[in-house]
Amino acid sequence: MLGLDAAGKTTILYKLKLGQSVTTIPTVGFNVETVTYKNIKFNVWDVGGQDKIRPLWRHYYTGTQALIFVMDAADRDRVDEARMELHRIINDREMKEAIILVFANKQDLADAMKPHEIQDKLGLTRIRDRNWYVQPSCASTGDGLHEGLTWLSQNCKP
Amino acid sequence: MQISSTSSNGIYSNIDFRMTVSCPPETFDDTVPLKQIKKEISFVIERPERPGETSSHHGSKRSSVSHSSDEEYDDFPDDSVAIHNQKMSEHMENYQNLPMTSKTHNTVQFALDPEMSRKSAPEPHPETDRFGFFLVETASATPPLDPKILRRREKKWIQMLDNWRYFMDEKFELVKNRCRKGIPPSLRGRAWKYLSGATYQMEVSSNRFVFDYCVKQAGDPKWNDDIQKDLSRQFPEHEMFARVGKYGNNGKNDLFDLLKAWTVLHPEEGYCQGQAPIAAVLLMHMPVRDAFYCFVQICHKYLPGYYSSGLEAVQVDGDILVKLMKDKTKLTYRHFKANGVDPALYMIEWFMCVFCRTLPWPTVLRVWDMFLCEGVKILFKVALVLLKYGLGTPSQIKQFPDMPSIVTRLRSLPAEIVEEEFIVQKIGEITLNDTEMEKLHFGAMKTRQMRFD
Repeated sequence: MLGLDAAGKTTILYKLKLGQSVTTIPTVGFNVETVTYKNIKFNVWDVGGQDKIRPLWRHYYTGTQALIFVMDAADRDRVDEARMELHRIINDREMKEAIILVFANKQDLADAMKPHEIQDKLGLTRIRDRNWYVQPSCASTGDGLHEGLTWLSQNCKP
Repeated sequence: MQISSTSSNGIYSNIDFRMTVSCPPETFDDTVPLKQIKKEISFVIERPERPGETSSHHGSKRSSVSHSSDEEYDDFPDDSVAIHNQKMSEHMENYQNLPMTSKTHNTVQFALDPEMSRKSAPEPHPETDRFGFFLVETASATPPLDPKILRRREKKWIQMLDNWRYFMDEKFELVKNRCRKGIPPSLRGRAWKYLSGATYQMEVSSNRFVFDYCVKQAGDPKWNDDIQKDLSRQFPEHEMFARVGKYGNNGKNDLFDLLKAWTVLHPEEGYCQGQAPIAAVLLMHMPVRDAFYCFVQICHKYLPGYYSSGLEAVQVDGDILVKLMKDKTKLTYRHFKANGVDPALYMIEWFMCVFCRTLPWPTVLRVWDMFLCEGVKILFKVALVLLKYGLGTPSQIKQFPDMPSIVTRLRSLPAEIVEEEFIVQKIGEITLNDTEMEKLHFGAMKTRQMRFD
């Protein structure tokens, strides 16, 4: 699970794991939890997103089956940055096989972008050789998170 | 909230077309003020270090760890150095009111904060432990030290701090051993300033004006934004940084001032998320200006390059740690190698945050006492202890057979091996030779270089 800083990755991870919204601290390094949903065990790695610690991301690529890319759907100023980072990740050799789930997070905010807009702005529309999906979500309430996992469970090769 | 999604199959469901707004990204002109600042400000390192004042990165000229018994030092005759009894009691009073926040920089922000002005009647604040963390039910809290012992140690420390130069030059082993025993809480802030060399920087050196200058600058909006986003997310369970606490926003304002001042000093390097916890720990023990100088010493001298772009330095230290594991805890080393457990999977947060997010608080403070005295070597030693006793026996290895389970184990180590006395004792049993460390460092740098060529 990757994405820019303060997108809500850690909140998503613990909402999935514990079913409640926890006070998070900025992730330096990563958090990892096993989440079981519909009898499928997901090993979810939540990796710190600040630009300065992104050089560490590649350490977490090996063996990844799915990329969960979390973005703050209300942060229009940084959508370009998010697009560049997303493409940098999915073009990495180690990530060629990974399917892509995008959480368009923070949908509770008034001017949050909707999935079709995010799809355009992240340049996903042009990607035809990869399986991807944009799921709107609100980490603090949990809305959309299980739908995301359902898509993963249906599309991940065991 | 409406749940709708789009996918690579081109299936749109429930899309809300009203939301197709696009905003041009705002731009800011950050070039002019930065250039001006850069010309004017720099942090001069103009004097050769003395042992313990700071520790150079792996290259410490200091003799390596010795195990001379504490007792011989404890009998150190009191009259061999000047004692100022009166001074002592004054110092004690000065240091009783911790934690502190600076009064100078925050008055205005405090008054303007709507949250605070709305609540005119004081509300009862949650109970905290002796470190300022809100109380939660904990099974085993270490009892505070016997007051008699504490008082004796405080006397020794005051005597030492009042004659710092003498003790550092002539009795460094004694200083080191006393740091290993733990600095008395009432003197910890002051001792950290002396140990790190911050006292010299803020009182004597030409750098003493750097903070006052930097804190007045507006700072780069990009870094300010980054810092701002993290302010309410540092130690949210500590009364100084909590959303609501008796210190209001003072702790958070200090944290902002400190980190912003750093980004003014290093506009290119800027703020790294690993830095805020370090700054917060310091602020729990001293006012913002003092904390700034300690922070700068840590970033410049103890962990140079740790927070710079690319994070090369901390990754080099990860490679060194692996080499040390090969020597000191072979089973762990082999097990990690067989399962592809890369050092980045466990040591980044340990080292970048100087264990302040990993260990129970009493242990954190003991580790910091030793770290500020002896330098980065302590981080390697703590890491080796955790790895050796957390995942170093055949039965433990069997219990945690693959990468995910290993990594999870390292993130929730059993309470008995993170307990302060255990860690301090085991650290004392590890010897890391300076020459050897130097060699490993050189080797690790070379290997990395070859990998990128």
